[in-house]
Amino acid sequence: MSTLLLDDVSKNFGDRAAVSDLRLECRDGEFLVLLGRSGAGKSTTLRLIAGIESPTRGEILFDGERVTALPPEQRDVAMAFESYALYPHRTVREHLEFPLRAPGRNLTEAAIAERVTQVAELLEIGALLGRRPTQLSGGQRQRVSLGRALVRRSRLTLLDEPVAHLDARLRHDLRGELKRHQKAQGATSIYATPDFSEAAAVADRIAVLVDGRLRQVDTPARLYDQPADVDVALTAGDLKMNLFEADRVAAFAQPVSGVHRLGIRPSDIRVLDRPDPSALPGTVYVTEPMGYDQIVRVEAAGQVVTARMPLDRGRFEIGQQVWLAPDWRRQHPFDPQGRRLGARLP
Amino acid sequence: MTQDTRARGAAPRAARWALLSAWSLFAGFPVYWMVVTAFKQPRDIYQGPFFLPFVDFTPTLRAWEHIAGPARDTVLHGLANSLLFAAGSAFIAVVLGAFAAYGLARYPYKYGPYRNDDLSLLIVSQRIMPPIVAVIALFAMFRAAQLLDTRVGMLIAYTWFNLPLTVFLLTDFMRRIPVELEHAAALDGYGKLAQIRHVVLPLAMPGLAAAYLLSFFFSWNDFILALMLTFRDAVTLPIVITNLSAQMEPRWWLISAIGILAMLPPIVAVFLLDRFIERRVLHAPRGEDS
Amino acid sequence: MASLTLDNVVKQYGRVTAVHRMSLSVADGEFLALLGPSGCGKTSTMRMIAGLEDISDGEVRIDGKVVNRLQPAQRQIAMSFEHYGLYPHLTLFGNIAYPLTVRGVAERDVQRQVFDIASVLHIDDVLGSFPKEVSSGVQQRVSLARALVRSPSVFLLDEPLSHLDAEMRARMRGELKRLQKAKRSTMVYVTHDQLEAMTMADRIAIMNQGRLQQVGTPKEIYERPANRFVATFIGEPPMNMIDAVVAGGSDGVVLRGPDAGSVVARLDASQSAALAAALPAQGSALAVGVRPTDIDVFGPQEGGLPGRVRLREFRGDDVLMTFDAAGTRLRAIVHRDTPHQPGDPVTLVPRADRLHLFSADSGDAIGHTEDGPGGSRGRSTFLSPAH
Repeated sequence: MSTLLLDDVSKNFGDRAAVSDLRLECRDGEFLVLLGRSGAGKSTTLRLIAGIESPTRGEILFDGERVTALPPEQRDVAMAFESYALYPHRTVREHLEFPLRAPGRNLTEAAIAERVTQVAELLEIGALLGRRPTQLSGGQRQRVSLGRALVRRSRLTLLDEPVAHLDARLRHDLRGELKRHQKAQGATSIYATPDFSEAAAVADRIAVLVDGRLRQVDTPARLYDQPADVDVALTAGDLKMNLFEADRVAAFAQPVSGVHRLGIRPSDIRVLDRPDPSALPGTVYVTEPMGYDQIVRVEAAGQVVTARMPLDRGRFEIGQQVWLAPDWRRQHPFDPQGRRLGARLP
Repeated sequence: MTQDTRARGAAPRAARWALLSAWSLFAGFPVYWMVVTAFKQPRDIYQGPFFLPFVDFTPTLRAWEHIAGPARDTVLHGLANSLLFAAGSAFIAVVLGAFAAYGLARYPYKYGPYRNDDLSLLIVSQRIMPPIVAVIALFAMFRAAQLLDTRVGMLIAYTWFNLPLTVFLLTDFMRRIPVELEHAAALDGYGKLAQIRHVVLPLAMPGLAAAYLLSFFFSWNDFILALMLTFRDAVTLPIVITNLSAQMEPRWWLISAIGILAMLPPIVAVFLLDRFIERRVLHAPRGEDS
Repeated sequence: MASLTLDNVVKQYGRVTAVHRMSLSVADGEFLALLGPSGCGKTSTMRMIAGLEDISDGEVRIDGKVVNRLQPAQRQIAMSFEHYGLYPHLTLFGNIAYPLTVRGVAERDVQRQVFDIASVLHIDDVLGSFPKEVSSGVQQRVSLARALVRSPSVFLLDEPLSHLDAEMRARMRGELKRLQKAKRSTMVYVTHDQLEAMTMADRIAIMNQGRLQQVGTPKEIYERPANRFVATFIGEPPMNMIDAVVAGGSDGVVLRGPDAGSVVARLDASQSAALAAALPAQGSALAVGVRPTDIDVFGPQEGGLPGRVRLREFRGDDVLMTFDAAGTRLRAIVHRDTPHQPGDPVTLVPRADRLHLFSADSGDAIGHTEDGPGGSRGRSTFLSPAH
């Protein structure tokens, strides 16, 4: 029996459909990530699970029982809000203690203190326990918000872009530690983010949301290797996949029949500074060196193609004539409706 | 970090000081005059103007003796009523106003074609009409209900008078409390009432205190409602003062003395409630990096 | 376009020194990134260049002319603010056009220039709206457009992309770089994001705690960081720092790790010879920096640094692994198919020809081993602390 099941859940705000026909299952102890752009419906989904919003249609089940009609306080769900939702008049310590003092929770003072200390250590906010939100930086606030959600060890933990406002270094470190912590606790977590790298780094499975609909739920590797449709392909990758019209590149790519568009990942394209009859000619649009890699954007085949290569393979100038050699064997074929040829339904 | 762009130098400083001093004098003089008048003999008042005690005139406690003596019951009666009406009606108006404000801020109402904004307007519009016009209707209603010159009646009148203000102020205040905080408390395991107790009330405190003080001031200073709706039992301090000047000619010394008494309760109220009106409690901007 | 020079510039707020004696020159047409963590002094420096802050000491010169006493408007500078500074009562078009209209540029030219810059920044379809009607991402680009629409001597951009989502930021980086190259503008770009600095700038000036740490091209800074701070600040994931001890081996210097018997690296004869003068005496401590891309991961074996897998993060084309080893957390980027899972014991072997050595106390760079042309012949570079 799964911890969470969304059964054909839809939510409309007026005539705008925020999410439609969601069928999602989250298994016990799983670290599931909701991936999608802003506005795709990630927050709405989390809020529906939390009970802050009620679905227009469909049912939500925890451990097989319907909770759709239950208010949030009775669902044993913890949530870290993207906007933190910290209590301005309370200290950090009070934030961490508050959930543990709720009616019905019978924890001894000692147990409360221990949990608070443990979470404070994990998130490195021990020195801030006496402060109020206005005395904290954005990153510190985010960690307090996270701490409040973690301290309860609830059945389900919802994390809405929990590291979004931290600097790159801290974001990187904290997301990994978060996952370790949740796994060590055996907790079930649902984590929302628009960033594929973040999702892929921590997820057991990723659920991709596009315009309020679930398009694919899979492991990070399968999602990356076999995106089910064009939207998923564009969402699942830290660099956007290049899409070519099949007939434009037919001579080079030899696509199978039925293919309308071909996707090639930037890392599967080599940029050559010498002419090559089997390569696409183009002009360098811009280069972005990044230390050991570089991104080279080339105007070719009527669009700007993005390629990623190691820096030591060559340096290019804006406006330089180059030739693109994609590894066509690694193409992602899509039909006229945008679906992957031979894809299985989610 | 804003640049300090004030004009520097001795001349601009002197100009600033001169301007501020002039205005302080202008604003503070009436109060000074009143205080000084309360300690003058009638002839010093009529033959005046005399500005400085012990220099221009000899101060006396005559006015105060009169208040503590023959006029004592009248003054205390008016003072007690004023206090009761101001403190009491402000309290009721704030409590009722807070409930209304929370509802208007959080729930979508719909009575026929009327929604939240319409309801707000309905409540607030009670104060658009000048009190002097509204009081005519109040008079008629109170007479029919036998509420004229009663303490209960005046409490109702002042509550009616203050409710639009408190609802207006508090609705805005409630709206500014992010509803997400209540959601967070809900997820932390607290029901609606507990959410209000732990989250909404503490954060609304500045608004509640401000609304209370303003209502207190309005009631305390009111003249027209008291004039029309009371004669004897429910008279307030302003009416007492008026009565004192109704005979022959105004007895300025008494008026000033009672005026000083009348200034004190509001000042005390401000001191008591000031600590609740914190600044920047709700100011929690979005984060940058840590 | 003009050159910009900072000559021993200092900024003090009362007793606090925010910027210590900073000297920097930006050539005409150069894109310089002023990079550093929050509080490092980069914003104060920029504000001094712009004229929004008084200069406590030193000179700022634009095209050779000292501008310390000049008001911002007289300095021929355009600035884009992190928090936009848009005029709420003007449309987005009006905002971008303002610098032109206020100088009496002809209507037709204004239209053309505004639309040109707006289309590069992908905001040409909302020009009729007002600032509060559009998202912060759009607002930020409008602020940028307003700065770029003129042709001032120097452009100052203060974290112009910070409030955009990742996708838009990636797009704008390329567009901004192209724009700068096309216009040959002198640009000073303030940011805390090292990726932005690396991908866009001709040269990077890194600051920390009010002091300039290093100035150089992205390549120089990446391959030869002047000190520990620069080494760990540049590059994502950050460079690993391992505490090591210098020891002598039969073939050359051995850098021992903190755990008994562990070895960070063995330098071959030529590497040892090249670094001999710079290395501290045998038995002394130093810090060895090695990038995650330059560590090989093996199952448990002799030599190297023993450790345990802590995290495994899938990245699409490769995997980022975090280890508990050498008394700290080390990271390595490895092939997707690597078999090691969290909890497994491993041995980490940093590549000896890709090491960066730093003094244990001052943090300054001692030397860098690197692969010279023609194979694995080590060649080291001695670097004096840059200021």
